Amino acid sequence: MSTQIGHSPTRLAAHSKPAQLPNSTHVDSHAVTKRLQSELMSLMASADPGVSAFPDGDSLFSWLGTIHGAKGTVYEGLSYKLSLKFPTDYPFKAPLVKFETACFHPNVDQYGNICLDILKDKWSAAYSVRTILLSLQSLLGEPNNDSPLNAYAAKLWENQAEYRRVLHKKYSELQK
Amino acid sequence: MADAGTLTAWQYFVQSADKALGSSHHKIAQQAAADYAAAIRKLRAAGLAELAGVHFLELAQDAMQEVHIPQFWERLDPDSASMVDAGDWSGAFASGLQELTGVLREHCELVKLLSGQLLANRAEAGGPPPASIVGLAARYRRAVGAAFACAAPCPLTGILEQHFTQSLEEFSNAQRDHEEREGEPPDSAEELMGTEYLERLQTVTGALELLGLREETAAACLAAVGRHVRQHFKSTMQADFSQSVVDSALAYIDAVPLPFLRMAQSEQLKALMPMPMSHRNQWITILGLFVYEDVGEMRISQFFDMVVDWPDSLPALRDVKESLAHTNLQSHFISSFRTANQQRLLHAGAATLDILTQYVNTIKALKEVDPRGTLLNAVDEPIKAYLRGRPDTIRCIVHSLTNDNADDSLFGELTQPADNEGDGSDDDVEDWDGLHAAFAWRPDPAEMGMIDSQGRERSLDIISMLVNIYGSKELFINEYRSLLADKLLAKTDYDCDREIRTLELLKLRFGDANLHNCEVMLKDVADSKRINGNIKNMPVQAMSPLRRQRREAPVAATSATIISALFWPTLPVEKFMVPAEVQEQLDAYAARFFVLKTPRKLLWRPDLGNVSLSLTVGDQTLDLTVSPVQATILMHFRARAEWPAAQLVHVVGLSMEALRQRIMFWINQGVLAEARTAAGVLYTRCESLVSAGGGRAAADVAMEEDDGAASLATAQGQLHQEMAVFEQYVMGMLTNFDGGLPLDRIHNMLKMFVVEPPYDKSADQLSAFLNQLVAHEKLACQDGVYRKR
Repeated sequence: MSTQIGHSPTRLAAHSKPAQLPNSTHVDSHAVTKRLQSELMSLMASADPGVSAFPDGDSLFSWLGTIHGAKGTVYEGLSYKLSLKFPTDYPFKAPLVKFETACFHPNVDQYGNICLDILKDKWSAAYSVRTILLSLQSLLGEPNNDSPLNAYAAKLWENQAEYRRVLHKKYSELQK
Repeated sequence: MADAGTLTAWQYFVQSADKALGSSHHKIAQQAAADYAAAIRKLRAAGLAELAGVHFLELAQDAMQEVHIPQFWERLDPDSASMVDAGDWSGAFASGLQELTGVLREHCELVKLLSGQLLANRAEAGGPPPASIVGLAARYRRAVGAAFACAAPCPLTGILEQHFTQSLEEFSNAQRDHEEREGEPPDSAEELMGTEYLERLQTVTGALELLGLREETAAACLAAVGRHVRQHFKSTMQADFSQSVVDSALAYIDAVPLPFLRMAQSEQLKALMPMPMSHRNQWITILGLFVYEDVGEMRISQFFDMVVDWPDSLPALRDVKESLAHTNLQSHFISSFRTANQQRLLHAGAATLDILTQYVNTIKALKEVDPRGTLLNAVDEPIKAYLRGRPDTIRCIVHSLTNDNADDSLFGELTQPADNEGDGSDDDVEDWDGLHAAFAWRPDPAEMGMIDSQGRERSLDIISMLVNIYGSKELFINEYRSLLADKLLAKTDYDCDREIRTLELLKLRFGDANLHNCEVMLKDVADSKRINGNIKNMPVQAMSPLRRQRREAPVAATSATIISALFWPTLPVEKFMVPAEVQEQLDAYAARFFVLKTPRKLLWRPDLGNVSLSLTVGDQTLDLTVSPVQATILMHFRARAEWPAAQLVHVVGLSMEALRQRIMFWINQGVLAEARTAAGVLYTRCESLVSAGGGRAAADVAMEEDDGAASLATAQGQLHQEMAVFEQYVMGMLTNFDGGLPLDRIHNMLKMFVVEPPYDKSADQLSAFLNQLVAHEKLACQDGVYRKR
């Protein structure tokens, strides 16, 4: 432990990363802004039913999203708020996406963190806000029960009727 | 210890003093005074002089307080039996005062005698005279004056005022009588009133001075004059606006109160006045202050009507200006005028044109009252806000600006040069203007502090004020463009000299670049005239051989206005099927155009034209100018006498409602008839003109309404079209903000996040658009917060 702490500053100095960092973010931020603006435009133009997002009012790097449960799934009729935070090197890094509305789902934990491969290691610059929102919408109806964040939900999933009952109970408690 | 001699001397002194004080006739008094003087001398020899002095003063004061002063007030007491009738109150007051002061003078003589002895006494003893003896007589007078004032049955100033008021009224009545008799004011006030009046005035003033009441007298005199001026003003003021009441009030001040002041004052009193009587103009101004407030109150309550009567109310406006300059009624003015506007102008019952006219008059009137524009800034915001909310405001402005026929048109304003602020084309002139402006600068009145008037431009140019109702000239120019388009399309003679003149004037104001489109439009019309002539006179040789062989449809009946679509506003489209024979003519015309202007082609917009037709029904002939759709409908009745609505819709290519709307015209004209059958509506041709009982007038109205609605729809529709791009953004935003957003948030977010196409609308335009969305039930608005439905 102690050696690591001792070494890390020298390593940073050797690579002279701190000196480069501000410069690179500045250049990037312009490109990122443009990218986010065009994503907003295409999102508005496509007008997919059930998914929507918009910058939260102060900056382009922080958005609010809304997804409605897809038809034919237990989530039908429910709507969830999301927050999307974009890193300054977006789209080379995935945005940080969280549920703001508490979501009872095998792959969502109690803090709203989401376990979805394309938001983690499978991220690619080809994805966009729109694809993220659509993926999350389908994730609601098709959870990945192999790596659950919410084990109870994952277990309950087998029994759809019971799952629906618990889900709707939790959701309506939220609305109060 | 006092010896017997001293005692006798004292007794003698007391007796003689009593006598001297008690006597009221001069002869006896003189004898008594001599005795009294002798007694003092004796006492002085006995060393009792000072004691005697104190005693005497007490005695004298008692005599005044117990006898003379109550007597005086008794005579003026309205309840007492000895009271003279009211008419002679002034005389009684004067004579009473005269008597009182006569007594006072004698007393003062005695006091002086006494103090003279005392001083001599002191001088013998050596050393300076003590302060208690010096000026004994003056102090005595003041003491009596105070006693006099205290004994008054009501506050003394009121009584003094009464005296002056009565005298002044006497004078003004005499003056008026004289004027009525002679037809002109008297040469000299003194001659008019006679010496008796003058003496009485002077006596009173002199007596009051003697009593040490100089300040009170001066104040009462001024107050009486002030009250008189106000009363006179109130009794003579008129409500009409053709005369300045300030002027007449000032003239009256010069004629009556000023001479009175001159007459009523003694020399000493004059010294107490704010300024010498010789400064006549300043006096008029000072006395004018008494009326400014009343003038202001009255004129402010009438201000709305004065604006209506502009420019006949100019003299009355001057009153307002004067009274605002001399009083602090500004805030009252602002609130009162705002309220009047709210109650009488800014409601649904007033026509937009009237509101505009009133607004323009307000600008002009306030320019008169307050050239700096602060007042205007304070009152015009509600009017502007209200006008912004009216859908037809721009239209009215543009209409009124470009229409030089109407009485209330603003065309005249357009020909006035604009205020070219900061447009420094000529440096020399600019400098002089700046210098003048610097000299003319006055700080804003303090009352304006409560109204935010900072940072706003103060231009009083009417056109720019009107245009600024909307905050930008683009809207205005766009509206002008649609109006111009309507006008040009309705023309059949290509004559647009007037429009060119208007455009040139507008260009002076808004710059060439902004009106470039309009210029192209006018040029289109001029070109059309030429092309139209060329096409009609085209020699047959110019046609292609192929075309020459074919029998060509005649083009004489057709004229075209050829427009460059890019520069024209979006024109409303109405789809219908042009009858084949007309289409043939149109095609022939287009073909000739193609020959002339290759490679350009003519694309017809038949729905925008006019058709002049002669219609024979039975034995009557109608000459009408109608829209192409109406003409088309009628043409179908040439071949068939009756058409079921369902079929007619098909051949004309209109929707059922549109057809009904259009065909109503012919039914109202009595050319067609409508019948309801089992199969549906059936239209039949009338074989003789049916007089449809006032139908024609109704039809005209219907046509006008129709046109008005259509062109109004264009302006609104245009905004809607331009804004539609942003609708998705607004909806997206509101989907994600559950709590809803207020207008300015939406506006800011659109500005921030929308880049393609750039969001360049004003908050007002956005507001109009959002309200449309609310009307279409896409959004809900509560307390200024928009929400998704």
